[in-house]
Amino acid sequence: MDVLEVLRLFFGGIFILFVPGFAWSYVFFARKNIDWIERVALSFGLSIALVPLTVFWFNWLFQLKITLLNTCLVVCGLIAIPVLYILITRSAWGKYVTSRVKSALRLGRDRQS
Amino acid sequence: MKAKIARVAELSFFQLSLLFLLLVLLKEFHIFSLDISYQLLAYLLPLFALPILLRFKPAEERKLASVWVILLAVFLFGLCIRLLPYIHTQVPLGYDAGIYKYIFEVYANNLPQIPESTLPLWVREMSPQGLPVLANALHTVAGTNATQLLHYLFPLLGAFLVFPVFILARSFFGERTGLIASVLYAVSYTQFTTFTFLYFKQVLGLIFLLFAIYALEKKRYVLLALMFAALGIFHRPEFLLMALILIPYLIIKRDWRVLYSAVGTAALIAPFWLLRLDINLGMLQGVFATAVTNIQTGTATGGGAFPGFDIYQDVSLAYLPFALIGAIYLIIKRSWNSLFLYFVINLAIVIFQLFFFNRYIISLDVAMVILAALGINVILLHRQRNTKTVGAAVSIVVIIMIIVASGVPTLIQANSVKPLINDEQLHTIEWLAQNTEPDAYILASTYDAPWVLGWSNRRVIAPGLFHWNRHNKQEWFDFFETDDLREVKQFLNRYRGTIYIYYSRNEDSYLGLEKFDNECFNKIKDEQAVVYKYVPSGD
Repeated sequence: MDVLEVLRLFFGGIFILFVPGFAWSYVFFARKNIDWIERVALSFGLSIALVPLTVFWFNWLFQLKITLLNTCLVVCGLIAIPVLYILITRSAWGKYVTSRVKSALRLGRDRQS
Repeated sequence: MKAKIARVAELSFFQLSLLFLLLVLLKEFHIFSLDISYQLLAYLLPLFALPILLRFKPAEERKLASVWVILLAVFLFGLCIRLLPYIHTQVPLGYDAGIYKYIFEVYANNLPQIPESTLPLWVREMSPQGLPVLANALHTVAGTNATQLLHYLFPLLGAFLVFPVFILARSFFGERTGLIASVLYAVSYTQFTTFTFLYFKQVLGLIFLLFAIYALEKKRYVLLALMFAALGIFHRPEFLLMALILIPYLIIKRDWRVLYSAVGTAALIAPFWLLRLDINLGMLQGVFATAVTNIQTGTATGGGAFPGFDIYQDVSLAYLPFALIGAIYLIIKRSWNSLFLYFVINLAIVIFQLFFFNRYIISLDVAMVILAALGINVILLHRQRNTKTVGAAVSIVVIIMIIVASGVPTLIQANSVKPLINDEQLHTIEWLAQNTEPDAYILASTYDAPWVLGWSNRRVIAPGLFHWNRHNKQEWFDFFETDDLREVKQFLNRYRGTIYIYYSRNEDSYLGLEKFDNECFNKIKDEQAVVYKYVPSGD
């Protein structure tokens, strides 16, 4: 096994088995909610769950071929969604929309009760 | 008077537990073994702990320094004992290695598509799509092959389980319980046996099961839906276990948001399950039919390949009493949380031998490990903090003895476990892959068949296995027993093409080689494994 193969194995493994889950862990738990042991472990668990689910869904729904490029794009998409979500919810506009949605939901619940 | 009895019971508990662990240690080291039921002692011991449990009031725990260092050390220990068997051999452990390799390669060879419609029925029944699709993603991006997944990813995942165990135990019972649970997991003989049996899907299933319970506890319903869905596409028995946990949880806690998670899970796994709806429904029906038959007739069928509950009690003797103490503590505190439900439901499946009960011992052991850690923390560590005398030292000694007594059989096993075939026998199979006609068949015993399937790249004929087999059970029995050349030829002529007969010379493997020692069969290899060649003739 040459150096390039080892590097591909290592970084490819991290890219598939860690990075997507790491990004998603911030959707489920804010920075101060859990420590890094929990976040790292959760990142592996989430990645192993998310990657096959997404790859299979895309293949089933859009007949997307499982190639190097497509898999990388799918995983990048998986990483981009939580990043965008975090950026939006943290921006002033995002905070405003979130608070409006929350208050609307609360209002609906109050009316029901 | 009552207080006096409680005091006597309490003091007796520490002396008895010390004595019990000493006996277990002597037994594990094969120094001395009493002719008594150790299991009975393990079940009696928690009774003496009752007074302590009844009076116990949990105090605020101090935050431990350098938890991650201990956890990393535990992880490395878990990884090292899983890599230890591979120092002297390149052959994967377990019976299923060849089957996993074959499935990974079938998926990889069909890239860029998923070969759902062309998969043989036994693959569709045996392997949900999750793991092969993950293997495909790793293959396309990281360039991994099937052997690397079996050699490196599987031991890594087995050792990685230390973290979910720690996280789950900590979220329920605090950091110290989490740490003890992770140590007990790392030294658990049952968990190591899971590794030696190469239960790849089950290890992944355990990771998702623990994270699903964690998500439930933390009330993260989307995370719960994801982990529950992962169980559905990786390992169906643990998916069923999680479903069984959620039903009483919903009734007790009346947390209706769990239903949204269940709906989310159903949506996520829909494409996976819809494509195999007939198989999955048939399997579910089979599970309930087995449970009903086992209850009605008192038989124990469909347990799965794993050592039974009697053996489990023996190998977990050291922490068994403390697991019961942990369970009793939860009952006293009326703490009907998801972990307790997990323990009770899993125990019921195993004790009443409902379905797949031997395989469920693996997940039961994880629950036992967490409860044992709780029991140790409640009964020994809290006491140790409150007493600065001999009691404190005794508590520490007891904990060390539990870890050593659990770890010794695991270490012995790690040092002595061997693959089912040796390197030379595997090389013979690889030689067949290089030196036989691509359309040839290879006939093998049930023992050798998975290896031949995985490493020969040829169609494999084996009793009751794979889709190339054209004979029923009776015909195979007749084939094994006969020495009549005409009958042997009649049997083999049903396959059109050259047939190679592979036999690994292991004592558990049987083919009846005498019938091949004649002019119709050409012995082309006779080393640690034997290979005959047969070209079907017209008669």
